[in-house]
Amino acid sequence: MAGLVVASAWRQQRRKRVFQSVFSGEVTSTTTVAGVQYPDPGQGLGGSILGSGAGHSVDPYLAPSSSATLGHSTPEPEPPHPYAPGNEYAPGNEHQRAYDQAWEVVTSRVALPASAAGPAPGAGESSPGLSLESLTAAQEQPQSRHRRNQKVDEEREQFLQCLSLLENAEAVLPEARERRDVIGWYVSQVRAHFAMWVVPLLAGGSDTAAAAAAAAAGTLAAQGVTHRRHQRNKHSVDSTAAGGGREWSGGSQYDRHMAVVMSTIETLEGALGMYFEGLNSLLEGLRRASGEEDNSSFGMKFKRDIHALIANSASQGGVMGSVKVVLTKLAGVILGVEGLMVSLGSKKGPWGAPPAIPQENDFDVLTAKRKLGGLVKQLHNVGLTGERFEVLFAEVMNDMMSRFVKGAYAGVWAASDPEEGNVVGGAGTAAASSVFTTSRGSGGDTTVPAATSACIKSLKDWVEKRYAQLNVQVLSWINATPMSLADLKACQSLALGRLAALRIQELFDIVLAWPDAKGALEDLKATITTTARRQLLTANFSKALEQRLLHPGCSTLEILQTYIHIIKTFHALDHSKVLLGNIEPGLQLYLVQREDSVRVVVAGLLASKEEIEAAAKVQQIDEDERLQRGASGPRAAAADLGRREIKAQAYSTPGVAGSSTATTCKTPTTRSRQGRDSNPSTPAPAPAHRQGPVLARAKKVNKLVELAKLLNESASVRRAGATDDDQELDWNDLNWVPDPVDAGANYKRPKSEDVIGTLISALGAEDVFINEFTAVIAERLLGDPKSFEQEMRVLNLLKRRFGEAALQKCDVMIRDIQESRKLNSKIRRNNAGGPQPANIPGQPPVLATPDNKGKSVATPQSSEKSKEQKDTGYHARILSRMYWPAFEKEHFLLPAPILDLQKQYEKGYEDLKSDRKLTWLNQLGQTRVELELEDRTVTVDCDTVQATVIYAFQSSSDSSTTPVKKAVDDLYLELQLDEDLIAAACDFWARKRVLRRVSTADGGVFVVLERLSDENVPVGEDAQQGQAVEEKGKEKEAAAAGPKEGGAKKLSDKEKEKREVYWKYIQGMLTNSSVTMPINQIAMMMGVFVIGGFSWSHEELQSFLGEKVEEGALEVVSGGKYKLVRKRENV
Amino acid sequence: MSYMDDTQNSAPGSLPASKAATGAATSKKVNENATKRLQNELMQMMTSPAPGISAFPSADGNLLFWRATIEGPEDTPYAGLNLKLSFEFPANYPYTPPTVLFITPIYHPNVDFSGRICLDILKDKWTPAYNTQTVLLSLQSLLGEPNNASPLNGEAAELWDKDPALFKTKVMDRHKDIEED
Repeated sequence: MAGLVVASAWRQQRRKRVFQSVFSGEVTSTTTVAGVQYPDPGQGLGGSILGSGAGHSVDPYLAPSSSATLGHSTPEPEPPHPYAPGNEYAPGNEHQRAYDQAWEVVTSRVALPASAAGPAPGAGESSPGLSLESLTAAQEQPQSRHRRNQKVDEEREQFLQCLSLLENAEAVLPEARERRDVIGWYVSQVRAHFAMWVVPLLAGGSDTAAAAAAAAAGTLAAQGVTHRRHQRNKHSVDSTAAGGGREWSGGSQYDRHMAVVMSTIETLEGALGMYFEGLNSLLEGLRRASGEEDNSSFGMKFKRDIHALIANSASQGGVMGSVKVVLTKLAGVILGVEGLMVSLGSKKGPWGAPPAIPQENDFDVLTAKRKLGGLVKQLHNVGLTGERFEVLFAEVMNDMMSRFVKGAYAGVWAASDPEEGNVVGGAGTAAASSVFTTSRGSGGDTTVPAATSACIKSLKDWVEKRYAQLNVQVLSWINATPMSLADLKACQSLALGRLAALRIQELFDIVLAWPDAKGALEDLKATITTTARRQLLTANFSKALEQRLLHPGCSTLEILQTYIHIIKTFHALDHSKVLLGNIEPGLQLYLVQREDSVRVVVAGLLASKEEIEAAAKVQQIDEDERLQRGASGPRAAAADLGRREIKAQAYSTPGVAGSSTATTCKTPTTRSRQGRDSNPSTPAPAPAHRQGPVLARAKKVNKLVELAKLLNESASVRRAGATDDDQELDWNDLNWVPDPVDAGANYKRPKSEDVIGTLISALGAEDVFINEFTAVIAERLLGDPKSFEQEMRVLNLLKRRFGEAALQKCDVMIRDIQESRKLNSKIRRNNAGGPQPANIPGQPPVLATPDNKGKSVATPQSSEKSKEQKDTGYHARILSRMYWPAFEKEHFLLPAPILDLQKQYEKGYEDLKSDRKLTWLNQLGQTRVELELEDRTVTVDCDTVQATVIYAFQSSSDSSTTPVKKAVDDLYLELQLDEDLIAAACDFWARKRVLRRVSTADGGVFVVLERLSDENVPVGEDAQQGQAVEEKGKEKEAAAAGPKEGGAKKLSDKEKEKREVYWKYIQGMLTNSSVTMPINQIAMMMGVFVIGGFSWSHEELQSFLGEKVEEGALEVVSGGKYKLVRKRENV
Repeated sequence: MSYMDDTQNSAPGSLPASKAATGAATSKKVNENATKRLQNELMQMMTSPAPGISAFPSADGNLLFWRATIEGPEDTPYAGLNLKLSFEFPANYPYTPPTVLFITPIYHPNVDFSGRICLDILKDKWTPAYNTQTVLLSLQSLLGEPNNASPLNGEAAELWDKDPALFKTKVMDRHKDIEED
C-alpha cells in the first residue's frame, strides 16, 4: 500500500509538472492564493486581481511558493517584505489592512485542500467545517480540530462578518483601494484545484491506471472525507465488487473497470461536494451581506461550468474507456447479449431457434438494470453524462445490436422449429470448417416457413421491448431527448440490416444446408430490400464461391451439387433470378473449364431409380445416425450397427456402383419408397466388414442423382405449367410483382427455378451438351442393354427442352438397339440348329458397321441363357453408322469358333437385308466366359477383347499337365491385337485369379492358375511381384480402366482430324478476320463458327496454340495475341 | 461431304422446331438459313481449302460479314501480292449474291478505284449454286484473265495488252498491304 501511495504520489507530481507546463498560469495563481494564508497582509496579494479569467492572472513573484499548501506550515515562508508589487497604498492604510485581513479570513475559510477531496487532516477538517451542514452542526464538532482553538460559531461569525466586510468594502472601507472579487477568486481556485488534484485521478482506463486509481480511491476512502458521502460510496463500491464477483465470475476486467468508474465518481463527487460547499457558504454569506436573493443563478452557472470542466477533463483520461467497458457489460446483461455469448461459447446453449433471450424480469437483468441506473445517475450527477457520454452510449448500443444479431441468429436458420434450429446450428458450424463435410440437416421439408420469419419477428420484438426500452431509460436518466416512435422504427430497420448482413455472410453455408435453412432464407428475403444490399449479397457470395468452391480441391460433382443448391436457394430467395444471374457468370466460367462437367450432368440425368433410392437410403441412414447420436441410450449402438450394414449394402450394390450420396434433397416420393428393403435387383455382396464403417462416414458422391430426381419431378410440373407461356399477359395474375430494380434490360421473368435448364445453359452451348449426351447414351446402350427405361425417359424430357431434331441421333440409336433384338431372334430362327457350342467362351463380338449405304454395325452379344443350354447365343447389335459416335475399328483375330458364328450371323443378316453389309466392331462386344479349371469353374462377364485373350490360353491338348503359359508379346503375334490391350486383358484375368503373372519379360508372362492352391507357389523371380499386383487390383478399377483406355485410343485419329480442321479455322481467322487475336477471341470465334460446337476447353486450345507457336506457324505478339507467321516476305 | 449431307438433311427437321419455339417472323427464318448455309460453306472451305484463297467471318463473330484473301496467282502481274476482300451477305443469301469488294487497292481492268468489281456471277449470273469459294476462285482467275471487254478501269484494260511492263508497275504502285487489326 505504501508503495502504491508513493507511486501515485509520484504520478501526481509528474502530472502536475506536465500540467504546469501547459497551464502554468492557472496553477501558479492557485498556489499563490492558497499560499497566502499567512503572509503579511498587504503583500503578496497585491498584484493578483483574481477574476473568473484566472488563467490570465499570473503572479510570477509568488510562483516559487507553489508547494505551499493550505493546512501545512508553509514550507517556504514568504519573506516578510517581498517585492510588494503594485502596492500603491500607503502602509498604515487601515482600511486596506482591514480589507486584507477580512480577505484573509474569508479565503482561508473556503480555501481548498491540497488533494482531490481534502487529504490532510487539518485542512481536510477545516474545509468540511465550513460546509453548511457543518456550520449548522458546528457545536457538535470537537473543538480541538480548530486551528485557532475557536468555536465554530465564532469562526463562522467571523467569516460572515469578514465576508460582509469584503462585500461592502466600498461603503465600509472606502480607503481600501485594493479590492478583489471573492467569487471570482473562488472559481479560479476551484479550477486550479480541479486541474491539480482531481484530473490526475481521472486517469483511469488502462489497467495500470485503473489500479492506481483504485488505490487512490482506497486512500481516499481511508482518509475519510465527507463522512456521509464516504460511507455511502464505500458501501456502493463494496457492493459492486461483491456483485461483480458473484454474477460474472471471471469478469475481472469488468470489475477493474467498474472500480475505476466508481472511484472516479467518488473522487468527483467528493471534489464537487467540496466545491459546492465552499461556494455555498460564500454565496450564503454574500446573500446575507447584501440581502439579495439573486445569486442562486450563479450557483447554476457554476455547476454548469464545473460539469463542462469535468466532461472535458474526462475526455482526456481513460475514464470514459472504463465507462464504456462497464456500460457494455451491463447493457449486455440487460439486453441478453451476454448470455448469448456464453451459450455460444459453450456450444450447448439451450437457446432454440428463436433464441431464448433472458426474460426481462430475470434476476441478473434486474440487478444489472438497477446497477446501470445507479451508475448513470451518479455519472449524471458528477457531470460525466455530456455529449461525450451520449456518443459513447450510442457506440455501446450499436455494438450491442451487432453482437445480439450475431449471437442470437448466427447459424439459426430454421427458425420455425426449436429442435431443428439446434441441429442445423450445429451443421452450420461444421459447414464453416469444411465445405463438404457438412452433415446436412433433415426434415427441413417438414417445416413450413412462417409468413414472416421467426428471426425477424423476434428481432423486432427484441428491439422494441428491450433495446428501445433501455435506450429510453438511459436517455431519461441523463435528461437527453427521448426516443420517438420514428427512432424505434429506425432502430428496427437498422437491426434488420444487421441481420441481412449476417445472413449474407452466412449465405454460402445456408446454400450448403439447403433445404434446411429456409428460415434463414426468409430472413434474407425480407431484408434484402435495397439495391445496395442486393449488390452486397451478390458480391459477397461470389467471393465466397471463389474461395470455397471454385478451386481444384472440389470435384466437379461437388461443384455441380452446390450449384443445384445455389439455384434452389436463390430461387427461393428471389424468384426473379436476377440475383442468381448476377452470381452465375463466375461459376459458369469455371464449370466450362471443367472437362467432365457435362459428363457428370449427363450421368446424373441418367441415374437409375435404384441409384436414387440407394442415395436416399444412405442419406436416411445418415440422418438416423445423427438423430441417434442425439438420443443416447443403450439401444442406439445396436441399432446403429444394423443400419450401417444396410448402408454398406447400399454402397456396394453392383448395379449401383457406388451411388452413395449424402446430399440429395429429400422428396416425399423417395422417402416413402424407403420402406422397401434393399434393392430387389441387387444380390448385395455387402462386404460390410470392409466398407461399412469407412463409407458410413464418407460423404463421397458418385452421381448427381438430384438431377434424375428433378427430371422425374419436373415431368409432371412441366406438363401442368405448359400453358402459361404468356404469363406477361395474364391480367388476372394476382401474384404479379414488378421486375426487380436491378434487373437487366432484356430481363424476362422465368417461370420456375428450372434447375436442369439453368445447369445445362451454364455448361455452354446446347450442342455441346447434346453431343456429350449422345456419347454417354451410346456408351450405355452398348453396355448393359437390359432396359432403356431411364434413357427413354431422359430422352423424352430432353426432347421437350431441345426439340426432336436435336436428339434425333439418340432416337436412332435406341431404335437400332431395339431392332437389333428383333433381328437377332429372326436370324437365330433362320439359322436354327446352326450354332455349336464353343468350347470356352460364350459368345463374343459384335458390331458391325460398314457399308457405305448407311446402316450397319453389328455388336455381338451373348445371351444370358446360353450358359445352361450350352448353346451359344450370338447376338449382334446393328448400329446405323451416321448416328453413332465414330467408333474406330480395332483389329484382332477372333477365336475361330466365334468367327464361324459371326460369319453365320452375317450371312443371316445379309439374307434378310440383301443390299446391306456388316462391318464388325469386334472390340465393342460383351461375352460371358465360362472357364473350366482343374479345381473350379469360373464364369465371368467380360468384353470381347478379354474373352479373346483368355481363349488363347486354352489348353491345346487335354493331356497336358502343365498350365498354359504365354507372354504378351506372343499373344500379340497370335491375336494381332494391340499389346496394351492384351496386357490390360491379362491383368484383368490375373485379378480374377485365372491367370498369374510369372515374369515381366516380353511384356509380361502369364500362366493359367489351374488350382487356386498354386497361387502362392513362386514361379521364377518375379512371382512375388506379380502377386502383389494381383492383390492390389480391385475389380471396379479394372472394369473402369479397361474401357476408358480403349476409348482414348479410339478417339486419337478422330482427334487428329479435328485438330487439322481447327487449325484451318484458326488460319482462316488470322488471315482474314484479324491479323492478330487474343486467345479468348479465337475461342469465341471457334465457338461461333465451328459446326457442331467447339469442343475444346480453353486449356486445350491454349496448348494447341502453344504447339503451333513451337512449330513456327504462329507467333505471339504484344498483349498475348497470336499471329500467323508469314511464309514469304513480300511487300 | 458426308458430314454436310447429314447436317443438311437434318436441317429441315430442326427448323420447324425452332420456328415453333420462337414464333419468329419469316425474316428470321431466312436469316437462319443464310447463317446455316454460311456455316457450312465455312466448314467446307476449312476442310477442303483451295490453294491461294481463304476466307473467314469478320472478327466480331458476324456470320454475314466475311473477309477473304486471295494470293495473286503466279504468272500474273499480281504474283506475290495478298489481296483482301470483303464479303457482305444479304439476309436471303444464297438467293441473292453477296456484295464483294476489294479492300486492298488494286489496279485491275475490272475493278474500280473503290474496289468494286465487275463480274457477272456477282450480278445477273448469280445462282445459289455458287458459294464463297467459287466466287473467290472466279476472282482469282479474273486476276490472270481480265475481261477487257467491259472494263471499269479503261486505262488498265488498255495497258494490259499494250504495255504489260507499265501495267505491272501500276499494279505495284497501286498496291498497298493492309494491316488491319
